[in-house]
Amino acid sequence: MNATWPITRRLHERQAQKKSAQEVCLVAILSAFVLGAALSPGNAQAGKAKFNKVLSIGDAAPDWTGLPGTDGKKHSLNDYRDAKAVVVVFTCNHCPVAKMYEERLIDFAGRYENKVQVVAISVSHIPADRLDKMKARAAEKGFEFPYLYDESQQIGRRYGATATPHFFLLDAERRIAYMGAFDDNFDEMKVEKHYLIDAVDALLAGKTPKVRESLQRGCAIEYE
Amino acid sequence: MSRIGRAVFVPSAIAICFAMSSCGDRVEKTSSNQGGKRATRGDAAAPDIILHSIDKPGFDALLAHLPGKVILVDFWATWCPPCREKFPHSVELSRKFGPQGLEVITLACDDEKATADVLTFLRAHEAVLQNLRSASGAGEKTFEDFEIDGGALPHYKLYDRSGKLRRTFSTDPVAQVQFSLADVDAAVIELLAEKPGDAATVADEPDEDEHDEAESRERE
Repeated sequence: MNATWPITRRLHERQAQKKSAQEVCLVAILSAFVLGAALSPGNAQAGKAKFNKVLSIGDAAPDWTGLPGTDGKKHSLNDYRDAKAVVVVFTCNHCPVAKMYEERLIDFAGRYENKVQVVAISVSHIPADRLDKMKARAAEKGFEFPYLYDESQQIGRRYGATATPHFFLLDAERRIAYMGAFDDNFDEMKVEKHYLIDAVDALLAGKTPKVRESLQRGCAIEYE
Repeated sequence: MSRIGRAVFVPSAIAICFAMSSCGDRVEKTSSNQGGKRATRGDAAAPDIILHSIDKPGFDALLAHLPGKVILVDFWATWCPPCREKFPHSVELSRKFGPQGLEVITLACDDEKATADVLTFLRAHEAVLQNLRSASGAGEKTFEDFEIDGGALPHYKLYDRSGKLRRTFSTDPVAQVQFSLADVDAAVIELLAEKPGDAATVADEPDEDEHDEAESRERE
């Protein structure tokens, strides 16, 4: 045993080296895939999302229960379990960009009324954004979708919401199918990419959205 | 920045940017004295508030021509109420720490049609600073090119005297505590005090840092 041990050890070492070389190769190949996927613009199929620190495409959408709405009732994500898809939008009253998108959101919600459930959420502590003011805005604009308020801001944090407005499309299984901006331009006349609508249309047709992530733009959500 | 310094610098910056125009850089200058129209240098009297439209390569070139300065970039927009509230603080920092080598740059993520509004705001705040407006306006290209985390304004970037990006400040849904203007001040003071060669030893606080991993690898 003593005579053969160094040989055996060298054999084991060589085998271990070969194995670890194989492992290194495998890791390198996998990393290349993940890196490649992560770097492809707007299509984070695997690995970290490009513009969201918390959620990735395909993740289970964070759940919520009992958030107060402008209708005076409490709302849970499960309320919409029969919807083929849900659009969660983090918005607020005061941000000019969020206001710019209200019309587009109302229009979208109306056109997709029986197919997609829209739900707007505010987590802003600014007085102009609180529930009483939200009720006034919902009434004034005739929101036909729930407008909820989360005082704790937790739902915003869990979605990785950074700015208003920030959109998340949830598929039938309530996984994140798209997240980011509604479209590519605040100026409605200049919009070229209808990110959210295209993603919704794809989902409803049983397909995967071509663009699954874009960069949301707007007023920072002020977490406290 | 002194008036003389600015009189020398601005034409140089314009010259540099025009020289690079074949690479697709665009710099336009608008002065508040003309209410948004083009104006020549050396316009009389009123506060010298100048606005340059700039793209990312132009911005990088501008920063490269400020050697030895600590640079604070305030990304804001006329459509962003929290930005408008915080803006005076940037002007104040420029006054207070300019003599020590702080250069404050403002970058408005506003469309061209908002130029007059941008100038009105700058003039109201006596923003005698290096004022820029993204050539891509409020579009997604601005937020992607300038790497504005989470597309959220206000957003600040802080560069040290060697031109290296050292800190970014933006809203962070993961962080327990959000950045405050006091944090920005403290970082400015820290970088102003840095001697050459300090950069390798001064560690940035991980939970306030929005840098990607390449930044920390570079430091090691």
